[in-house]
Amino acid sequence: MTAATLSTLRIFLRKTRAASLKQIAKHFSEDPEALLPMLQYWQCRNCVEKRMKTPACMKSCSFCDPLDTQWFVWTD
Amino acid sequence: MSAQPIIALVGNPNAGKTQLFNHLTGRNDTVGNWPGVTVDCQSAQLSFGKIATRLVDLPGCYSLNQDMNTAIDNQITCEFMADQSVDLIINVMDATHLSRQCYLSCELLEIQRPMIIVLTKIDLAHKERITLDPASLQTHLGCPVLTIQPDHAQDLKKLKRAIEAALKNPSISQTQIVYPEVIEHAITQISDLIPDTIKHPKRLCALKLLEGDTLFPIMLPVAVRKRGQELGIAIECDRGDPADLLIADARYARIASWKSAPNTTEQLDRVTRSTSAKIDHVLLNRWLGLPFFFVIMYLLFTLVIGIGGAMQGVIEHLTNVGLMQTPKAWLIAHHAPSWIISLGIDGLALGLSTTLTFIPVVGLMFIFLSWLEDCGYMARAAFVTDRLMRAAGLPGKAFVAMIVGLGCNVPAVMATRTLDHKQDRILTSIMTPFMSCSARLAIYAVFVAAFFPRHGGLVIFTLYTLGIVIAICSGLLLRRTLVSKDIRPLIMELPNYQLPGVKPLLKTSGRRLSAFLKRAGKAILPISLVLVCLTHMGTEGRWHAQPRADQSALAHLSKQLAPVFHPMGLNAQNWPAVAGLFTGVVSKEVVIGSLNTLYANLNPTRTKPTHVAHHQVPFLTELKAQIMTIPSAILHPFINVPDGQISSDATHHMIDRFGNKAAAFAYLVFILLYFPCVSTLAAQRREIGLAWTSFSLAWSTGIAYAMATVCYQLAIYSSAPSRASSVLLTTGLILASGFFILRIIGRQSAGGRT
Repeated sequence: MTAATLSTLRIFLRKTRAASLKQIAKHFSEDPEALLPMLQYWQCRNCVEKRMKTPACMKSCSFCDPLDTQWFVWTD
Repeated sequence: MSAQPIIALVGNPNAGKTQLFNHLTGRNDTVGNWPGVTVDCQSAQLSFGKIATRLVDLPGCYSLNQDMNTAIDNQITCEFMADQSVDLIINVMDATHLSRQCYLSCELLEIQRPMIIVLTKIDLAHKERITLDPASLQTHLGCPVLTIQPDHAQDLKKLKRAIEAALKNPSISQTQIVYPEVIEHAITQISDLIPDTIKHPKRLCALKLLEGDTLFPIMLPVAVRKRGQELGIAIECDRGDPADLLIADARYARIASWKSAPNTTEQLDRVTRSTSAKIDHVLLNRWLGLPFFFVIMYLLFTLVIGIGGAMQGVIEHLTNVGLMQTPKAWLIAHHAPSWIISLGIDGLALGLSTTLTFIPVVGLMFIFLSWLEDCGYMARAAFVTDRLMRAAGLPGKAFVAMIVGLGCNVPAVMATRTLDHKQDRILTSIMTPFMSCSARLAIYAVFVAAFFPRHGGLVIFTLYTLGIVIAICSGLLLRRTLVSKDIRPLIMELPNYQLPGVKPLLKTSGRRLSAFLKRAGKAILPISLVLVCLTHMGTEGRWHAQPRADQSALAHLSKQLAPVFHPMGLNAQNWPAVAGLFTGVVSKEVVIGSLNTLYANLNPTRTKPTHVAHHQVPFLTELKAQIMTIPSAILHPFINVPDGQISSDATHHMIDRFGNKAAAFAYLVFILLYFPCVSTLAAQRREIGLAWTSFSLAWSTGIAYAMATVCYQLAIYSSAPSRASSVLLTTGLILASGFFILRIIGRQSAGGRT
């Protein structure tokens, strides 16, 4: 298990280019709430962009996990 | 230790600091289930054992680094921690999000002051199946860790004992985060240059200097700060990463080493499947979220008017007999001078009676709003409307301040401090006065009873919605003209849903109602007296025993101003409504008191001297009849016809002089949008300065006039189409010209800035 730090998060996002909050949380086995300040650090430095992604089915049945719809894209 | 030790409550937003502060001090400061409730320092004198201390409740923040805290409320905490020599830090942590909050704890440890960690929301953590290990946390952090339910007396005693012990035998945690060698080397170099007179630890100052913070190193000599900058640049060249990244990275790595794997896996599992997340799937749904929000608001106003209106009848009857009829009969029987009867009954008693009849409607409104806030829904409302707000070019977070405005506009303006950027704060401060506050609700309740008895809830819902729409449209227009267009996504922590306790709910609502009644009473009583004097005074300036009604000095003055309001349906005959608008500038609560005094004095029915006993039978019968309407109103709130808060004489005159429903509705629209009360203006002046406050004043009154005129003219269009068309066209042209003027000014000032 990799510890979630700013640099490990950068390595992960650089590698995957984009990941949902759930994917990031699973990768680091971390509380998603705890990851948000780290993601915000990179957002403030214009390295990461947050995007709200509509589920592929394009339906709004509300059964999608909100953690799946928040995507973070590495832009650097 | 200083003469009076300072104890600081520090923690992330919505960790429960103010709740703990209230329980420790017995105070009743505002608490809420969303981040950003406390926007300023609150302090209280408090003794622990024999030690007198100053307990300070600070706004929540995620870090002591200025970079991460651009909002004013967060900066207040950073500045306090940098300026003050705190004797004891109480780090309040929400047990349901421990790992997120450890970062701030790491920074607090570096201040090298005695510290106690308090874990709150233990009940929620147990419900969410989170395993807490305070002993392990205590070992890692090196300071006492307590699990506290603030409303449990035993837990509070435990905390007080811990505080007393920490004050008597202060001990500083030995836990120290080890940074990369290059950082440690730079810390040593900077520390050697820092003089011993500096109040903060040298290591902390060196770290903050390397992080690029300006608050903590402000007292350092220029040479030290210069050396810090040089070392920072050298580290970035050497390692490829800035020093602040290496420092933050080391802290996160240390936090990760404190946590055990099974616990975090469980947390992830919890978040993805928690009850709050399941409820949010529906309430935050992109299509269902907004309609659900409006349905909740509609239900809220219908229930408030339905049930509160029935209760009003009882209070009105009690105050009519107890405060007005009986004392008036007694005064007449004892041959009291007419001026005493006029000032005492028509002024003071009528004003007091009006104030007291606000209790059911406003009290119920506060109970429902507090319930929505405490259960965690109000924080979601910001997310629900975020998409709409951003589409209009507005910050989603602004809606939180706007929701606070539903109670009172003054704290709403202060709540703009939670916004990160000055332009957003200005914009939101201008938008919040359009939110219909509880004082306006009292005015609507009277007009609804008189003009719209069958659709009261719908009319009030329409007015509240209109306020929100006008606020958003104002923001959109200003964004496209005067204020820059930089839009940022909403990043805000959502609190867990919780079932609000009855006691805290009633306490919060009671505090708000009491503040409302005090504010209303203070404004209504003197203005009622002044209005009574003006209605008894003729145009020649002499006092008359009977009210001069249409021949009074006030009537004369108001009639002169009435033509200005003619396009929105007010004529010279309806001068009390014009006078009411001017008294509303002082405070919106005053409007109903003024209207009651003025309309009731148009053709007052003088009570003949009667014995108190004569009232008993009809009084009790009437009271019983009024009480009997309450169960029916609770069971069928949607079909209840509310009673007004003003006397039947006044209601009769009011209906007569307004003439039609269109004029009454236009008047309500004007009341909703015009001139914020003086308290709101004072708050705006403090937050955004005099120039923007003056603009907000002119903007809101202009918009109010235009909207009220449009509503009235559209309503009477079928009866006078040509006149209505010309007025509508003129209004449209004035609005369009105003927009272009603002756009030109905006472009010029943008050009000046670049």
